[in-house]
Amino acid sequence: MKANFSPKKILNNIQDYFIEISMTKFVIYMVLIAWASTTILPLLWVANNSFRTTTQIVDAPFSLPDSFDLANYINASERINILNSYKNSLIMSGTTVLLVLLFGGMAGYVMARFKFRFQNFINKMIVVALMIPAFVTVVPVYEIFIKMGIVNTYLALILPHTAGNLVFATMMLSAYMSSVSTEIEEAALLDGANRWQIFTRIFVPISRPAFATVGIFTFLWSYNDLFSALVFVPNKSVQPITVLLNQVKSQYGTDLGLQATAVIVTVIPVLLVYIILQKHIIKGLTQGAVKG
Amino acid sequence: MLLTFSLEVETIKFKNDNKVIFFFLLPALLFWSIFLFYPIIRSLYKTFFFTVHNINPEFIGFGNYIKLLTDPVVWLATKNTFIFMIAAVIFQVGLGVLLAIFVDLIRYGKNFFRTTFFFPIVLSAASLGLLFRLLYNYDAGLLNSILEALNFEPVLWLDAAKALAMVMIPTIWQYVGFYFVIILTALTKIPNSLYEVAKIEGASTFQRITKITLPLIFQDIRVCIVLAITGTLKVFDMVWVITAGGPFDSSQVLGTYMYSTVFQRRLFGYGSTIAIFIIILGVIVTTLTNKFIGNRDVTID
Amino acid sequence: MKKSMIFVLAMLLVLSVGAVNAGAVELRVYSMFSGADPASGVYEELIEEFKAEHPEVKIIDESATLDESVKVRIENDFASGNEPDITMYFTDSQAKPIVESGRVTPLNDILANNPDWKAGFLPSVLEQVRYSDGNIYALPITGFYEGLIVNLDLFEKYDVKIPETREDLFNAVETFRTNDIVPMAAGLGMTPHYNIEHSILKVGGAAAHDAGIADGINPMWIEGLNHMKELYDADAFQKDTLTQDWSGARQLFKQGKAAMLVEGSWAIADAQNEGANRVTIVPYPKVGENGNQTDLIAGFTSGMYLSKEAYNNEKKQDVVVELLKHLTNKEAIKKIAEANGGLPAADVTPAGLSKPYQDGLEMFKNADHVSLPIDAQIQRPAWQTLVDGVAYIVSGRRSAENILEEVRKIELQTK
Repeated sequence: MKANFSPKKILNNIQDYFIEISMTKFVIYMVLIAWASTTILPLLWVANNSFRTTTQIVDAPFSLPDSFDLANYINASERINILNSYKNSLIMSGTTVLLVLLFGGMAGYVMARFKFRFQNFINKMIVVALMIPAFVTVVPVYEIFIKMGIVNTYLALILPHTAGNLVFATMMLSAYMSSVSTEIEEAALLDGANRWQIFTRIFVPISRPAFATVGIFTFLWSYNDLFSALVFVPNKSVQPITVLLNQVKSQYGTDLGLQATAVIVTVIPVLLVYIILQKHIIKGLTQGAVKG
Repeated sequence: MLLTFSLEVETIKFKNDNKVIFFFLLPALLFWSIFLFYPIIRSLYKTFFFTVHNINPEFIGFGNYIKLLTDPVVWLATKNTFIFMIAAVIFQVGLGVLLAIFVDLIRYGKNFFRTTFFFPIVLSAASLGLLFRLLYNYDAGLLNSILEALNFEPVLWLDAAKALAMVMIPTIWQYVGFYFVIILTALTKIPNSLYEVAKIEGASTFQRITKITLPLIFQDIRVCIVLAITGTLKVFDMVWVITAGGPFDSSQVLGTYMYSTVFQRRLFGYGSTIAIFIIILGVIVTTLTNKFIGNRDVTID
Repeated sequence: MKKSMIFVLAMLLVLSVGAVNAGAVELRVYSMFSGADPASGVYEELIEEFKAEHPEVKIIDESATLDESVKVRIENDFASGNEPDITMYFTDSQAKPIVESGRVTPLNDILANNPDWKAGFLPSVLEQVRYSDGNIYALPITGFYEGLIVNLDLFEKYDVKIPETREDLFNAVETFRTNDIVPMAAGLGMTPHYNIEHSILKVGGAAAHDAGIADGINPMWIEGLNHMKELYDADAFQKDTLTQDWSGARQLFKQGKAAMLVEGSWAIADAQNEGANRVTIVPYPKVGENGNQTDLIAGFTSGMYLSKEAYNNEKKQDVVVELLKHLTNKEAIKKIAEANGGLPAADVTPAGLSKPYQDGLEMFKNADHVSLPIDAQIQRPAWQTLVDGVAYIVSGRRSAENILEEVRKIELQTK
């Protein structure tokens, strides 16, 4: 205990704290906690089910497990080689993220900072691209891949995922870059920097939060895409982890406990990626750089 | 995008800029052409054929388009999709903006909320759909057990009158976190110094939000609106798992109708026609939205 | 940071192109025995056995639960010449894109040259998987039967007779309803398939059921569909049946909240809910004059296809035929039938089956006539139109005639 301990000081601190948490703050916290409970409970429900059998889930869908039975996890690890599938997922989705950030950053920069002839046309095309359903692209792309002989390789998922996610990336990054102040850019140009240098040395660092966000969602969408995985990489040794979700069901019945386990097993890496990347969504990078 | 630029951000022009523009856009354009636009053009071609299982196409001219215009389910699904769209823009984007601003305002627990709000997005529609089916189930569902415990009559949650609302709730709820993260990212652009100035001048929290925050993230909200509109036009998996569009197509949206046409009825030509219809609707609606919202570029001095 | 990122990217790209292998003979196999399928273990053992006997052969197993995306992949594999060497797929109307791609070998001669192998199959089963052009393209392994799965505990508790007639059925419905038990769990909204088939079969008889719709609307089909409406009006199904599929129906049955379930042999193990329910399977009751009490929906609608490319490839021919034989010989069929409780395609008696499965086999043997499901006879677009129409029919929003006219129109257009 420190020598300068004084009960009065602590009381004052507590009092200050409560004054600071005004009525507004109280309401804000209530809203946030209410929403958080709607988002946490479903995940807990799934996690809970991953320790239960189908019979238990069917008989009492919302009860706690009797014990932490790892049977479903053991079962899941026998269904597929989980570590190998994680590796496949990380290689494919990781490469997709890097390609999307690079090409999306370049396209976003141009769309945000230049005015040119086909810009409006490209903008319209982006809206069209946002709405193209997977079933439209899957057949022609599969035919191309068969001709190129890259079915059952990592590229068979990386290429279409890169194309698909570049759309959102370009939108998001150009929106962010468009608010960067022109003064910095002009100063750099007068210093003799070329466009590539301006892009990599000014726009990339300033837009770090937007790159992080694009990285998060690109990873998520590429990682979760079961449909493409089942079509483009049928070979089990190349398949990503999300295919586990296809393995838990059949007309003989869905193993609900195993399904929950598969969800937890697939979700963990995405949550880790989110937790790591969201640290970059912070203020301060742009102080003074954004046109106010 | 489409919405987000204003002329004033354009940089100084140089002679070789056209080359720069070309090379910076080239990779993205190549990817899009091969993996998105080539397939959609092939699809457009397919809309003139009657084809089952994607084999033995039979040319039928505008047959699929005539069928589309006279198909009552298409119009019901379009109506439902528009209701869905309005709700998505108001609640999904609205809640996303609200929650992001709130999290930006608080000091304690920021990371906790940032993490937990993201949870629903990572869960597959199959598992969330199962959850909601277990909530809505008439004989064994959680909602009806609560009602029974309180001595109320059980409710048929998924009847023709309520089914659309019942599938909208989880779909909209699931993706609030997406808009939350986008707006959170946008908020990083606003320097804290601006807020400090406002505080010194005695602005309330409410004024701070309406006078500083909202105008500065206006462009990003527009991006969210475009994403919500296009996203709703594609909405499919959660609806499919919970009601598959029923009963009597009352919760049918364009995304589910397209899916069942292609994957269940195996009518590839007609399914492609619905896809083209969705894209045309999307372009029209986003263009109108742009016109309607207008271009309000705000600068603060 | 930038440099390291480009380095990582380069590394990943190099890795991506990897995964290419060189070997002697490579065989690609697709089967539905994967994941939650009860026969997946046996199938994997069979593959391992083959690998041990043939170390020079590398087998790429592309098995997956056959959902809509996998169907798209397989249809396109055949359309684009990327088909696996051996593919397990349907032999009913869904076989069309596979067989008509011209990329599968007729197996008639191969079987004729291997009399032992051919003798393993029941001749009647081989007839069932024969394609409309007269050739056999697929070798069956197990089949299925459908019927009325009943919860014996509930029937005994409320002293209800297991229904054999229309009257029995409606009495059972009434008794269970008054006792707050759902009489018949069904997913009429999304998967009314089995209810449609049995209603038409047991109202109109096998000839009507098997008539198809292209030649005209059989009046028995209208009556059959109206039988479903009568049940619906008598409150026979759970209240939310119009927004449910088989999994929702089965869940209710598993919980012991429903007394009857129209399903196939594949559902029996699941319906028992790990022994919590005592169940058996019986023929759906004879509910119309033309129906016959013992008639069943049953048969073989899947099999192993051999790719023409593999068979005509000198390097592959012997081993691929060897593998096909290994997967479809008498012993393999027996093992798979024991695992999944299905009907064996060979003249074998699966051992170790539980009571309901024994009841099922008995029921199958006693049938006067078995029909393949309706969707083996009408095309997919028409069948799905009928499936989607059921909710409209039972709720009285559209008449059975009206829906069937639409079904017929699309059937004629498809043919």
